[in-house]
Amino acid sequence: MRRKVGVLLPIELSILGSGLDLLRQGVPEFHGYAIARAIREGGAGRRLTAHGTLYRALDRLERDGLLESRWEDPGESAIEHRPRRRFYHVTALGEAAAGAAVSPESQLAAPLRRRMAGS
Amino acid sequence: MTTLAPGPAPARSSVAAGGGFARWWVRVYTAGLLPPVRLARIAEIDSDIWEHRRDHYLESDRAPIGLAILSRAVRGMPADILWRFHVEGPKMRISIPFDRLAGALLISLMVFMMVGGSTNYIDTDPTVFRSELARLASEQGESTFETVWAFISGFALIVAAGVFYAGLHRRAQMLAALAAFGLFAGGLLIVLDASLSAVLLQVADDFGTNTATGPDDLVAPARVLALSANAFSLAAFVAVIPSVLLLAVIVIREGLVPRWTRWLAATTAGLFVLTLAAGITDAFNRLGPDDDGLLWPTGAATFVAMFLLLIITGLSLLFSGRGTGSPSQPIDPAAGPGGGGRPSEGPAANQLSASLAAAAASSHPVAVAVVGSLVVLAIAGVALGGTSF
Repeated sequence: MRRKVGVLLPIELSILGSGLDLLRQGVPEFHGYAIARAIREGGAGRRLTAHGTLYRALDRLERDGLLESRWEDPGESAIEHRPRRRFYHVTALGEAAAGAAVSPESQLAAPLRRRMAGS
Repeated sequence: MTTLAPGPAPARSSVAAGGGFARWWVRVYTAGLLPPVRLARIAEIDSDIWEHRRDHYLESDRAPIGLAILSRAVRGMPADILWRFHVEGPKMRISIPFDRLAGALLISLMVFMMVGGSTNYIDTDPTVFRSELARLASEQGESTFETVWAFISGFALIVAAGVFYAGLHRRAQMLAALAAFGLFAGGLLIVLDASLSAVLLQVADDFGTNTATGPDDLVAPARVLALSANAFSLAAFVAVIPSVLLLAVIVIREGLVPRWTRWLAATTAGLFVLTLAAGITDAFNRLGPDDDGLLWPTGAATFVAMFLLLIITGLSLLFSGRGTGSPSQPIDPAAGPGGGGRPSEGPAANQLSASLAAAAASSHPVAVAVVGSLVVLAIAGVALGGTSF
């Protein structure tokens, strides 16, 4: 789907909304699988978001400054014998963009409005 | 690497297949990208798969996890391709690691040549040629397979010539051009050989299966066709072997295969020269058809050495190819946001470019010209001389 500049796609709104949900629950950062699971549990879909869709959207959001990421310290992943995680968090710009997107005139933000209304 | 909490054990093959496909696919669509971008995406997918599996076990979920991972990978494929397009911009290039492609191609060539070489021979001895025609007529099915196989081998060689030239011309332009020319010529000669063989099969069919009653007026033209087909086949052999040796020189010099393979390449080259010398001696001495002197022993030894060279080089390239980037390399956290954009080339890329430029510059023009002339002369000589037997 080709998007207009400054317009958020539904998957991007879902990521931002779920990321803000996690933040409110005291989880400041999330990795790819965690956000896919959060989106599913938020009711935006019955299945986990596809790899390509998810990571492409994360890529776009980070490029636009709505998310920031860091790679986990290798020592932490080594202790748990698992691959390194890439942690994301929603920036202030991302929070503002999500807020603007859930304004009543937005056509794309129905799922996010439902989520924010419930929180 | 994966220490997972206990839980219901799904079918291991299902998990392996789903995760394996996802891991394979991310390596495919990121092939050719700069290492920081590629490795970041691979690491994210590996992490995602691991977390997905752990989550599944912790939840004691009995749903097929392998299928779920496979589904996520497959559903995301269009987005993956669009992401790749975005990362590379409008001038997207499909870049397959050349080393592995070359390895697969070399092994394929070897198989083609082994099968083709073991089946495609027509005995042109005048005293037994009627029997040979009768054999061809009675074995139409097998002979047709051999002819079709020869056609496919010829076209495969022509394609291989293009692939090798495309992959190697920046590393050693002249050597790559000569090797490609030899392969192309060999492919063309095999196609011509197959064409003549197809006509010969038709003549043999007309000749019939009965040696005693076969029409005599078909024997002479059939023998001309057989002699020509054999000559083209021999010329193809002469064209392909130097090309294989030139390819070996390039990949050995580039360090793409173990250095000790140079001794095998040298042995093949030596045997090849002996075979040529034996062939020339036989032609001058006009030895009888049953007395080929050293020609067949040296020719067979050359084939064996070349096959060994092909299979060792091919397997080395296939399984230890440098490719572009390696999962074992460390992830560069400064790859850029989300691995997107088009980062500048890193030190590894610069080092590779420098070594390739040095390799290309070191192709000695005189040696190249001598080898090239020998190849052309050998092809022409055998093609012309073969018809005079």
